[in-house]
Amino acid sequence: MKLLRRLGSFLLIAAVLAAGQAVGDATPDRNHQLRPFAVAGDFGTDVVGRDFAVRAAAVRCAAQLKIGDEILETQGVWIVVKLRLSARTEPVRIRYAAVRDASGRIYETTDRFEQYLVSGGRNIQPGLPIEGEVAIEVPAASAGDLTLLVASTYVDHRVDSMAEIPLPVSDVSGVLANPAPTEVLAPRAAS
Amino acid sequence: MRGPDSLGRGWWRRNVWGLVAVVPALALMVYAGVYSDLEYWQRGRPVQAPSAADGSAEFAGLRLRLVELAPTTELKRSATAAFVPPEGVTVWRAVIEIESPDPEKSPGCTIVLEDRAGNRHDTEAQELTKARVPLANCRPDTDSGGPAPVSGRYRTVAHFALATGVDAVAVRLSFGSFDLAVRYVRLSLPR
Amino acid sequence: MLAAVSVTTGRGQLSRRLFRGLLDGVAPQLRWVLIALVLAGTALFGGLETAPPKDKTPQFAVGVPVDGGPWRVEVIDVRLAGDLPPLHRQDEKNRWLYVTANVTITAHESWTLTSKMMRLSGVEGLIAKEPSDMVLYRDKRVIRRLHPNMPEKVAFFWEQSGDAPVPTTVTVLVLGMTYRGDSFSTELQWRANEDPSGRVTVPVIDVRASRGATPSPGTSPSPDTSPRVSASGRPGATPSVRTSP
Repeated sequence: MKLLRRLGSFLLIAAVLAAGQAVGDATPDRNHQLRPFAVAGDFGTDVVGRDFAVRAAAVRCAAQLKIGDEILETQGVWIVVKLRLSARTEPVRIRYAAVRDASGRIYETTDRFEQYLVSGGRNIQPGLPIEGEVAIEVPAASAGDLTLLVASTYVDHRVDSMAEIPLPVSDVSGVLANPAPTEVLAPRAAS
Repeated sequence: MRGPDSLGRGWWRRNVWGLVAVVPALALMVYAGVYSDLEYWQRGRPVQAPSAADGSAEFAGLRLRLVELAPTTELKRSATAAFVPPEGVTVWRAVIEIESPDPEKSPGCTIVLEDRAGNRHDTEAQELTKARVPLANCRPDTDSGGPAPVSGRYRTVAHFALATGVDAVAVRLSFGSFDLAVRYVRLSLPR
Repeated sequence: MLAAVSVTTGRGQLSRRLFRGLLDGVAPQLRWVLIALVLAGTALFGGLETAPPKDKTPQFAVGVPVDGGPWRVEVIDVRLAGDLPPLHRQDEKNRWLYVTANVTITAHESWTLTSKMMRLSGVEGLIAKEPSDMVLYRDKRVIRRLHPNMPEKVAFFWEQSGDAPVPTTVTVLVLGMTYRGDSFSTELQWRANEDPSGRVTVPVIDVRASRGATPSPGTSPSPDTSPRVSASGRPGATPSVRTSP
């Protein structure tokens, strides 16, 4: 009887420990807890984050970019997205834009030329939206399934909002077969 | 689990208060876990300092009064050419009178304009980069040819870009942060 | 350590006393028995050995990829050059030492701090430990960002003092990072490894006489109409008039 009671106590302690371990394992890890607040929205509509709103107004792909007099080639394909950016209640700068492919790889805007629109170079006042294009290099195989990511944070995106907009990219092979340089629209006041 | 005790009470009856105490103990544990973050967040929120009924305020060792808050078309692009704001943009000017015991040592400030909807606008609007505007920082503006402050009284002038049709109602001045908290004073024109 | 804790806090004192009490309660001579066991056990296999020297960085040949964690680097060559406009030397007597490499980002996202990828060893008179610039061969531009799964041929530039001896060989250390937590946080991040992931010893090609072989970087182009970031006023700054650039 005494042995049985001891065994019972032992089993009870083991069960409590196992339950504790299970609770610990089931809770999200630190990286998951700190992830950005994803704000998903449709292409062509305003997607509203904590301090900004972004609309992906158009998207195209290109084999070459024409920046000033320079032609920029790529081993993959250029994704050129037209953005409309606005501030919500106070001035904001957009410091991050990227695309995520189907495998989860994230490609940020290129720094092969200045992209003031999404590198914090434009101070956007509430009520005065701006627009312009950004260019991102991706492997051609990734171009079919891309999600645009936009944030006002620069490198530390933890627990702040990040807009996620699926991009309808088509005709990658056509563009690569007949490469023609395309210009990138510089930031300007949105109409 | 032993049988009934000398008073004839079973396990549940003997431990009822302990079980009841688990609930507040759990609540206390959760609160203790988030307390420091909560306090940090609350201390980081801007705090409004009081201002007098006539629209003036004593703040950061200065006496501050808003004397003008109105749209302006008088900005210059160069010494001779007038500045024309982009389409759909109205330039607002805020003039703040400052009395300082020692203007040379007046602290620098940031000035933010508040519109009727409560949105805030800063003095670094992209729309005004081509205009010649004085630095709006609560310090005597002697470098750009302004008069030297007489008897410790001078003016600081701030310019803002607002969408045409949006009304400004007040300005907020802050002089940096003290003990973590950002304090600001809100000045509006006396009615 | 334990003693220090027990002096400053009552709890440390208590736990130490508890531990001591338990140890002495179980077996007063236990600690001596344990020490004797360790000595006897190791003696059977030749006793305690001196720790091997710390530097275990593996040697790689030129052209062989070195896995640094978030990047994979294949060193191609190392060259020595004079003036390479628009790269700017602190002194005209100084030289450029640059490593050409194929770099692949193996992390899942674009990598911006490319100056953390490599260091030089065995070179005297480097102005800075980190490379001052990285140039993309594809369009001869100074860049700082590379993208996952899109290998590029790039050059890393170091400025060497003109007074220092001209190096004939250099050792390129490819640094590494590990995606892990640390003692303060369980948050997983790319954190720098203490030891480099690999070393590549390369003869230096002196191209100061021939200019053709250099990547001669240009300035970054920008769209025609795009404005510059204005140098804006900060509170407390000297008052002045802000004009357009």
